[in-house]
Amino acid sequence: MHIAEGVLSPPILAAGYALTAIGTAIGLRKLDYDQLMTVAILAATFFVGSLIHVPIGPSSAHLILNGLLGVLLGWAVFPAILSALALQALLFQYGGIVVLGVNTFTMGFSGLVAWYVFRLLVRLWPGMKGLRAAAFCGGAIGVLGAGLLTALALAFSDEGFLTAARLIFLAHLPVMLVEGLITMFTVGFIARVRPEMLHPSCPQCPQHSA
Amino acid sequence: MFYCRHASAHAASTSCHTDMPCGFGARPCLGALAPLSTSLVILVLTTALLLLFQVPAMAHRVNIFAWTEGPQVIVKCGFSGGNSVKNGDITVYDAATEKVLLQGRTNAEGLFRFDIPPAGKEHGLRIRINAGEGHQNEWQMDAAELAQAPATTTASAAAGVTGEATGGPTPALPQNAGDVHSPKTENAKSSQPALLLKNSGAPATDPQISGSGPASAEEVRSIVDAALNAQTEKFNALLDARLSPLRRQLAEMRTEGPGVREIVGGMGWFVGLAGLALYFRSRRR
Repeated sequence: MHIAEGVLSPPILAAGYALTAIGTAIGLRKLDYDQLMTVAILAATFFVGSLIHVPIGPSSAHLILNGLLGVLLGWAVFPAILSALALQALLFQYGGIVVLGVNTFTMGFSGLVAWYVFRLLVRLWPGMKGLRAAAFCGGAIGVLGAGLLTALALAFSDEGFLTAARLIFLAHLPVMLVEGLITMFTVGFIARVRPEMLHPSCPQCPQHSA
Repeated sequence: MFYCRHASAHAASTSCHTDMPCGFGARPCLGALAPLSTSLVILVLTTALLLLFQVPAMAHRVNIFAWTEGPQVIVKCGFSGGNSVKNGDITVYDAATEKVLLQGRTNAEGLFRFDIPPAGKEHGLRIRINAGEGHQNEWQMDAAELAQAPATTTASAAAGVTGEATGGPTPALPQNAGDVHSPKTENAKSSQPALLLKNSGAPATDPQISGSGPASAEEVRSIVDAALNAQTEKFNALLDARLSPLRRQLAEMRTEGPGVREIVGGMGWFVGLAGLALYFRSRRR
């Protein structure tokens, strides 16, 4: 899901940086003191998680975990993913500093969408089962959204939107499933152990001022 | 993968329930996050450990590596982690004028070969791999590096063998390839076509040796020159044969994914950044 340097045109790169800056600013504003360590640890999880390859199907796709980060962090998903991608670009040469804006936005924004979908589903279907289902959807939607946004960014390069979208979607179907499950297990676990961490979205957890 | 993570989650959950109450007041202290952090750290470490046992094949980054072999350039493309790029689009540019010189696709091993274009020997080449889905990388070859390669010979058609030949035992070429004066018979008896045919390139420019009467100084010089040329060609071919496994190893090293050192170092960065942020926020309070 990391777009390399030299693929995209300057306007798209600039737009990516602008959107990422807005997202990161809101994320930092909403980020509360007690959440900081969680953000760091989840950013580290994202950083490591995208090294894990999902060996299903013919394509070599890797975990993204942006859905998981979105569901657990809300808007703070932007600073988390921005720092993780910056370190991946510097240490592994994945993506690159020039495309950092676009890459952060594709994965961060879809994480945010996953968060809103998760919240909506939890409200519609209260209880542990609903929570698990919502988490599964959140994890899968994160991957789906990241794929669609990446394809959209590539639509303006020489590779057309439909080709790119089809390829990315097919390659990431197993990843969507796996990440849905990972998010489901993690959120289920957290709801049992530290329910206040899922603060505004978790109705059965004690209300926690955010 | 899941069983492992799940097991560790269970272990962490039991310890959590016993020593920490779950609900707390409106202003929770940071220490209350500790059990959660512990479980998340376990999760991160588990994934890191899983990495060590997994055969990784990731698509974050596409690597490209090119070297000359005889009159050709060989390009090797792989994703970080070791999978080779099949059917990747290769575009070769003139490094100075940005003109597209040729295009092609990598084979199943991620290799692509082409004869060095004359423009490349003057200006150098820029080779770009596009593996789709935003994966792209480039490799630059200097004019100096390309100019050293021997001129394109008739052997270029057979040079496809050189790549595969390096896998086997090193060919013992100089002895049986020594007959510089009879290129035609040499072609016929060659068991290592690529390397031998390259040797046959030089004698083509060999002046006809008449053989009648004592040789003049001119003739002697041309014979010596031709012999020297032939020797150089042979030497180059030998060097190519000896060096190509090394170059392949280099190419493979470049397609390896990040090591444990980078991963652990990166995780340390997050702890450090979070520590810094906590420090400044706590001072502001």
